[in-house]
Amino acid sequence: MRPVFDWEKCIGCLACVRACKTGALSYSDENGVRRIAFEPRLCDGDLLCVDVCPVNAVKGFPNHESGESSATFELARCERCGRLTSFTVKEVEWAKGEDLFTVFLCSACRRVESAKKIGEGLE
Amino acid sequence: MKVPVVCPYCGVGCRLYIERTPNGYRLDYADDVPGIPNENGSLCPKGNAVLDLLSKDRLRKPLKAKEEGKFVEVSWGEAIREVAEKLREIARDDPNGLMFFGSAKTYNEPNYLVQKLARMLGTNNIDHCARLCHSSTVAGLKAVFGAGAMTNTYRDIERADVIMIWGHNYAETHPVGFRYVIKAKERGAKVIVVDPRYTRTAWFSDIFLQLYPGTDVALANGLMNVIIKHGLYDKEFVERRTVGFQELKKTVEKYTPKRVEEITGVPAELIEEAAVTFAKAENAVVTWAMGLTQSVHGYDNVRAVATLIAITGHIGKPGNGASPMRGQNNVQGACDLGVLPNVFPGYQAVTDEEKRRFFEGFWGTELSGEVGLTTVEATHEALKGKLKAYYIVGENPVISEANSRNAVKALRRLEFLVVQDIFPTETARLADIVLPATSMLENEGSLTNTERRVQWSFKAIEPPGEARPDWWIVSEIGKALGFTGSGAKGFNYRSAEDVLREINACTPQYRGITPERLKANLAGIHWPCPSEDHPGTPLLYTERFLTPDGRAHLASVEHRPPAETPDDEYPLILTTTRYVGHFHTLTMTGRSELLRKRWREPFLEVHPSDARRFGLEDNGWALIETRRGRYVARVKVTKAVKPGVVAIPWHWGANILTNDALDPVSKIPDTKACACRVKPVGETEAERVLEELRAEGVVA
Amino acid sequence: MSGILIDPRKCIACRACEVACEREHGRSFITVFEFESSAVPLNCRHCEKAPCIEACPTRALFRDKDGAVMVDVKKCIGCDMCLLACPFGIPEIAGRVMVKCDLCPERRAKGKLPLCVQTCPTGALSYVEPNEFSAKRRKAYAERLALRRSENAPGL
Repeated sequence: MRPVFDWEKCIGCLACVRACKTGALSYSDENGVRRIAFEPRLCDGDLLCVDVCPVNAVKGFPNHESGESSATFELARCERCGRLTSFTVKEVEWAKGEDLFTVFLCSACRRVESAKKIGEGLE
Repeated sequence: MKVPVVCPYCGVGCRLYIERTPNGYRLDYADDVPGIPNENGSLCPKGNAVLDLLSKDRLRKPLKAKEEGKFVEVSWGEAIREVAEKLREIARDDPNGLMFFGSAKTYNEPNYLVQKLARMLGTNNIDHCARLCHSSTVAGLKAVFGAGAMTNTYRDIERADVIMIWGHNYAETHPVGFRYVIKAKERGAKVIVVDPRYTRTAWFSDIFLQLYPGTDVALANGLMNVIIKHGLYDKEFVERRTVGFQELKKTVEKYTPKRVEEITGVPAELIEEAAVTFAKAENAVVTWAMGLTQSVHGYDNVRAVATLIAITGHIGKPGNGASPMRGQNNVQGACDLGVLPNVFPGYQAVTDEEKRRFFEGFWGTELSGEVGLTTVEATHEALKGKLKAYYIVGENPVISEANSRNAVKALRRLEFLVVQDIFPTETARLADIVLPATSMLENEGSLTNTERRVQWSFKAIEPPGEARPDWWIVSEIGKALGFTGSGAKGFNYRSAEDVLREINACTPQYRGITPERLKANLAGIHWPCPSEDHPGTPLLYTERFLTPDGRAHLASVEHRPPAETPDDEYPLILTTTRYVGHFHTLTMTGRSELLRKRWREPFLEVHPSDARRFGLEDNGWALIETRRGRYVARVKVTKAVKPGVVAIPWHWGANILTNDALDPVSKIPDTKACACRVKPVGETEAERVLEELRAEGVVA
Repeated sequence: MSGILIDPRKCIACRACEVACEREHGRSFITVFEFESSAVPLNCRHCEKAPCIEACPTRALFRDKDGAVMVDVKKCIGCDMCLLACPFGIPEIAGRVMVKCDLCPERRAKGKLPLCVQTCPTGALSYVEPNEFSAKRRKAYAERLALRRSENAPGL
């Protein structure tokens, strides 16, 4: 069995890259762009990538032969401080679609804003 | 096994446990001991970091200086011999050529021994850091109530209906003790905060009186003016338990709210509101600290506030009292045990022939009846060449004294300087002999917190290298000086407990506070405790005051400005502050990464209008200058200070700027108010100034 | 299921909680945020309905028997999805796994309070069972009302 990647569906979240034990999946973040690459020669067919993908962008096929494949994703900026985050624009769109949040903030801004809200409960 | 110790930091006197583990020590919280000052065993950030005292650069062996700042290790025998020889030599010439500093950072037992040593050598030149902080309290409260200590306990603060916090950033200086204020507020109590800055304590205020530094007497008199005018004082209490009311009434007549507003900058309506709220309270407590005491009028300041408390009858009953908050964990004990130039242990005057005869008999030697020098006076005398030697235990005057450059010059002028400490401090660097002491966690003894609560702290940690307990070091020097008589006439002790028993025998307030009782009761005993079956005295003055006539002596004082006020050359008032995560001169907290990373540097607080006026930027560097020195710090632009006032934490060395003009009675320097000027500087210039100051040894 | 209640009305920004947590864990999982005249200590809220647990693709996040949200480091792949999901911004990646407040499990097992709660000098942090806590508050308030009325009652 080998994984096949639907890069259109993929949101660039890196769950598959982190789950992959062989290094067949890799990524790099440079100048606000993320590149995810799959090298089939390193794949051991474990399909952990299939298990973890939150949007079903990877599926396993038996006896599949594929060449190297990759895609690039724009990294998103925090909507409060403007700093580049380690999440892609597609990820953020997906998360908003899942109702995780309406405004996208980096972790630091989330902490400060939620602390402020808790504190404002005082008044 | 968990060993119960008392925190080595502040005057709240929190209890905690230290336990040995296979690879070191760990800390645990004393949530199972009823009645201790820190309920539930809670600790502030410093208490949580006590194990960082086990730092690598602890003093491990006695050191002898070959030249300034360059030391060789010597044996204890040699170090003690040399110290004894030098002290004997100078004492033979004139014992008043010696000056001794006891320590608020060590136990009652060694403090008792240091003053005993000084006195047996023939001098009353013995003092300690209380001079720099609460000497105004000791003198001021003695004048009004007859004794200079907190009149109640923390539980009374919890029970009060109004808590007035005067010149005291309570939430940052005594965080665990602040819980009592919060609990009082939960019950509906009102909090009045008097402070030039909107501190974290002021966050909790219902009435905030933001006065200019150095105008406390005017404010106190203004409050009393309103209270007397509206007849809100406790007439029965004034009649029955005080003297001096008529004179007071006359004096405060001219301190109308309008006039006081002009002097202090506090709006007249707030003065009225605060006065009425305080006077009408069923139960009220006033706490205070450096904002009130560290002034060239500190003695007057304390007397004025004590008088305010007395005329409103808020003393001598539960939920009421005068609560000066001591800073160090054993500054109260050092005072109690006579580490002061004018009294023997138990506040018995050296000039009182009867008391002196008692101690002459007790210690078996003639004693001087002449009041000795206080710490800053000693600096001035040393500069003139009148003092030959200092023996300093656990204090760092190079950083802690106002106008600290003078302190450095003075110490350099001495023929002989002995420093007994746990770390190589800025002061130790100037010493001829450095004696390595154990920290309080590595030693046992009794210590006394702000509430006059005496607690026993057990030995929990093995000392580093050859460090020895303070009581042992002083005893060895005493013996080497020939004081080998038996019992109280010598220095032959097997343990700290032996010393405490001697203290029981000569210090009336500690008579019944024996080692056995303290070890059996971790919550301690409040002095006065006249006998072994006496439970201690949490609340003072329930029937009478300790003045000769048993009444409170109301003080009529007039407002006078600080020794140095702003002018064209130095247009701003400089005051000093603290951080909750640091303690004093950073000898201890500066060695904890946990604390250092959270409180990295002093920030100069500047009001936006002053920042604009002098071209200072938030986070930019400022050069601060006074007539005594220069210093640099980064700026924090904030409305927490008033226009015309700037404020800086002193831990890293801001005392290079402050004024050592002294209060004539308490001899405390005017630390909280002096005139300064500021201007922006670049980072390179700022670094250069700091390097220069560090090379001089005057800042951290 | 008890949790840590934050009462910002009592926080004095002393950071004892941070120091205690860092001392025991090597890094602090609670941070105090200071504002103009108040402060808020913030740590993982161990939410009853935790977005992080729902977002985790490997089921590394789970709830233990006390209801605390915990990370199984063997299953965690450090993918950041919990970071994206958490409204409080709590998860941090250390090395290859996510780390956050674990409500001091060894202390809980011995019936002790989490460190931050234990050390907090003013009670800004407390360990409460939410429904019990609300019930106590309601009762306390009701008592204050009752007291006032009986002060006015004649003959008392």
